[in-house]
Amino acid sequence: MAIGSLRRKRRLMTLQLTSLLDMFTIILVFLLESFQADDEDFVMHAGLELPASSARSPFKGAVNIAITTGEVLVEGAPVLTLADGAASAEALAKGQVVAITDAVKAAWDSKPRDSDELVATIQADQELPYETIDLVMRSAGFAGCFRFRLVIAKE
Amino acid sequence: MAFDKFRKARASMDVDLIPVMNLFVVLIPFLLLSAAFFHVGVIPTSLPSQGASSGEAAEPNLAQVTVNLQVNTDHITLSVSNDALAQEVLDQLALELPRPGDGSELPQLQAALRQIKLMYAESDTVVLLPGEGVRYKDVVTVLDAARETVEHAGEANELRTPLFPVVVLSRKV
Repeated sequence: MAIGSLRRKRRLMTLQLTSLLDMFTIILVFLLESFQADDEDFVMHAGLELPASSARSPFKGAVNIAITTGEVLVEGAPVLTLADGAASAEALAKGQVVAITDAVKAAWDSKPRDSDELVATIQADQELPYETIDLVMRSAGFAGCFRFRLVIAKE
Repeated sequence: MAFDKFRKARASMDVDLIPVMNLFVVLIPFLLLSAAFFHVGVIPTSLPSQGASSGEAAEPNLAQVTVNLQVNTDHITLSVSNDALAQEVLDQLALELPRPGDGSELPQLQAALRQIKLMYAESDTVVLLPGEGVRYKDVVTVLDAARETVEHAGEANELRTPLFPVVVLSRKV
């Protein structure tokens, strides 16, 4: 009996790695499937919710404009404050926000580009009134930007 | 001694999982950093051309029309424009659809657009004119219906047929 208890004490404690390995294998397969090697200069803004769309066009880099319910940002820098998604009546009547025009122009000048045609990527909250987005687009139009890419969440 | 040899043989048959675990511990954080859990796409659009028009008028194309969609909060007005076609012909294609708010008007809109596309196969441009009070997500929903049709043929198969993929965003004045 003394020898039996000694033998039990000397038995090595082993770690059950098999179940851990099963879990890691499943996680690894899932992550490999969703692996993306493309790197785009685009940061999703946290303060907005993109509208869902069935569009499948791939994302390409351009001047980034984000429109939340509180502000408009060009390349991450705020250029216009909004009140619950709406621009001021003065700005809407004028049809242009000079700060946006200047910011888009400056951003395009500083970006490495593969074409001379200015393109802007707009990520906007889905609940915004269209007048605000139209104002931003027209302001960018004064900077020579007539082509836009509306960022959407793929359905 | 024989028993010791047997015990050693049994021990050496066990697979050493530690190196595999090391590999996984390195790979999984790397893949987690690059995993995409939220997929974004784009809808290419443009503003109406603001450049000066050239002196020479473009040759009218009888097989091509431009679809105009006026999106309001309570209805959508579809009209068609082409300088070469008679106004009576264009008026026959015009349509006004009420918007109850649940998106039920979109299949009707797509059916009308499909009909226009069948009649004028070279048409590819839609001009969207959202009215006052229209939300951005409603604009995107109407754009989806106007740009292409999506048919689900089986579980993982999607058949996408372009309707009017060239989008011009304007605004009712």
